[in-house]
Amino acid sequence: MDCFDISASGLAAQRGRLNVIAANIANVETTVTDTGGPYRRQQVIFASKGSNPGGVEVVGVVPDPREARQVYQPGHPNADAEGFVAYPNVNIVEEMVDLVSATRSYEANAAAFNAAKAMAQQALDLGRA
Amino acid sequence: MKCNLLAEVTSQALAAALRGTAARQAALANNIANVDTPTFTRTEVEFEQALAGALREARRAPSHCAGQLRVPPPRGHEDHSAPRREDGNNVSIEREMTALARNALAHRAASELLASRIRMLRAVIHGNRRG
Repeated sequence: MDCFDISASGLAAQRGRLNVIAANIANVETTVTDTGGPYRRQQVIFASKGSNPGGVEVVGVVPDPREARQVYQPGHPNADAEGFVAYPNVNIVEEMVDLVSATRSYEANAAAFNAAKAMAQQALDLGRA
Repeated sequence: MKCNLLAEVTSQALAAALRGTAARQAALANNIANVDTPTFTRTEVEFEQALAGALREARRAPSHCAGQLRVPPPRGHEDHSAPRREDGNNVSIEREMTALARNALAHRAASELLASRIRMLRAVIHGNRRG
């Protein structure tokens, strides 16, 4: 695997993470899903790829096992017998921090890609010396 | 004596430096790509010492033209000395980015020197005419 593929794998993995964060933020108030119950926060699992250096890949998107947020809203159609509505276990502050972290990691991979591109360009310029 | 124009010690050393910095670039890119991978261990590429040793060896050879530079191919090794985060990952993005900048400059220096070497040869061949 060359430098370009490695940086590309990093960019793709961070973009995948951004997609999941965006879904979490979009569903912060979703009380009903296809599987019933409120939306569950999703998180990506990264793993380094076999051959060293082989880049990174997203090996799974798994739900967060934490409990749903209970909010007292007796008038809500999804309220239980006691008047509590189960809201997603998404913490918006946590998601925003994760979002910034993913963006920075994406930028770092873009910088590594640019460095590799500059090096390849210099190698090409050797022929023009 | 037969003498391949780019087979003298200087060009070979510069080529070895280019190979080394290219291998290090791949290792650094991999470290950066895995900055958020739990339990990942960073890879370090060291080629300068081997290259310096090969240069010392070549200096002892009778002729610089005949001197063959024996540089082992650059190889990466896992660096367990860096402190680990809570998730078991020991990549520091600051360290990787500074190493990336330094490595890009080293690669540039080697490639500029090799280019000037080629320009010198061309000047000798063409009697310093353009083209």
